[in-house]
Amino acid sequence: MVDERKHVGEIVKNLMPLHDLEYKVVFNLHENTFFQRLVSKDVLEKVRAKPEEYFKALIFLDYFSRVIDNDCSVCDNLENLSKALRDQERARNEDKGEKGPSYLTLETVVFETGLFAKEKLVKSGRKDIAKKEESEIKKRYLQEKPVDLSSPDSRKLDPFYEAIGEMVSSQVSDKLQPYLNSVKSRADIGAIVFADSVLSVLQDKVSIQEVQNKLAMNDCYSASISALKALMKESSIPKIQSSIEKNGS
Amino acid sequence: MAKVVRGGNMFFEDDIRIIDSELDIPLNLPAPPIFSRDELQIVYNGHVYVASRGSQSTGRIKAYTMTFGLKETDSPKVQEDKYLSDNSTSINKQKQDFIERVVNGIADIDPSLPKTRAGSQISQELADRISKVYEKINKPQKQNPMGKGLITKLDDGSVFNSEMQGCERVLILDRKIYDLLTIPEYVSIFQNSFEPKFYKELEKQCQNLSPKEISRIISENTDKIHRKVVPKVRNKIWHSDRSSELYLDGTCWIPQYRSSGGGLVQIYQLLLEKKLKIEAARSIKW
Repeated sequence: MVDERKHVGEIVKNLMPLHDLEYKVVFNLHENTFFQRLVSKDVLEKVRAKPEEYFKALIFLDYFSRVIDNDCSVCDNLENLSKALRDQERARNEDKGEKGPSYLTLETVVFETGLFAKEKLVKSGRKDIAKKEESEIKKRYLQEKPVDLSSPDSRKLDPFYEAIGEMVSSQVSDKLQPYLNSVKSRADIGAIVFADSVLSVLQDKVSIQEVQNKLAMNDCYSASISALKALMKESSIPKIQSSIEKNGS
Repeated sequence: MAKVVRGGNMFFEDDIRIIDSELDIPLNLPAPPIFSRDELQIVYNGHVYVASRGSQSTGRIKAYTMTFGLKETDSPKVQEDKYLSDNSTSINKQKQDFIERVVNGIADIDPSLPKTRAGSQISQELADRISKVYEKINKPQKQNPMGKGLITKLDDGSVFNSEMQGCERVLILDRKIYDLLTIPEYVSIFQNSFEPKFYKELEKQCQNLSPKEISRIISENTDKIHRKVVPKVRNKIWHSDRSSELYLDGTCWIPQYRSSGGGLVQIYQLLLEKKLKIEAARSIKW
């Protein structure tokens, strides 16, 4: 049986970096490697999330911004939301830093993203994602070239990247981790983390089952699209408010 | 003016001269060893270590939640020898081509003729001129450690250990270079953001405490450090069970990004090139 940690580590080692940013301070070696391989600059520089959910939130948003939406505006929204919450904290003279609500939870990030996608759809006067748009998403998904681990030129796993594989795997819930064994590209990893993040907030059992069925067929792309559609239905301002309140209490 | 006779033709030693403009012509060498190895490496005082599942007695490295032992791998000398032997056919051809290009008329001389004094002179002169040309290589500064005393590099006769500066204590990952700093060295970067009295106390405590304990002291004294510096100085030392750790030679090291390794690789390549050209010069047979 393939160890998903090793498999993901080898895939990640073979991905072309998205950028070469090195955060000399604050972040560790493995954290910087994770950023370079899996999170684009625009997402990285704008999002503030709880430390324990930070890396998952980044992959979730990177997948949404680069593959689904082809735009980073949702990160601007999240940045503004964080700033507004921080200003409120400061006005109350109780800046709690990362323990306070200005460091968003994954739930807030997911619902805000869902609402953003929903509003975009409403503005365009459509009820569902248009076929043309879906084919554009698919095109961007497929632009992320799959890694061919059987190629003699592929880079072989080493302990450091095994640890990176562990880091990526641990962003995915236990139930979905086995699906990581089939990932071949950055987009596959993004799609699983995206679907997993959405599943963690969805209420509708039919939608949950649909996403899980697609993952079970190793169709990460379709699972992420089903997750997006279900998320758009369930996202609302009260849900965002509720997640912020839970975070602040 | 000695005459050299070959195949009925006559050559004059005066015609054999070095073409200075060709001395620094690059050789087409494969990527040099050490930097081209495709895994995380630690170069420490001339020794090379890699992460391994085995024993952690030499040292250990932790990334995220996984800890690995550090195993000493082939020395720079062994790696260079292997590099030269693996590429010997191409390298020997390039050495020969270099000599023929840089010493005017030498290609016409019969190599089976006994070595003459003039031949030895040109060999020595050429080696000297090559050395002079390559003196201009802009080598990086030696690392200037404070926390672990003077660096005594392994004397293995390799180009890497005898001539490469700036690689005394480094971590190499994906061809990028990270300086290895002790915790006091790392904290000293932020010295001006600390209350002086607290900085001195912390500096002393850094010698004996674990990274986790140092991080705790920083967290408990945030009023004595500039607000914006606290996460910077603390997080790299220790922030949670998912922090990096690197222990070697009884010391905890913090990798601090220096540069993409391109510059150092180029310098190393030039130093190897110099060595090969001098070897070629010394092997002139005439």
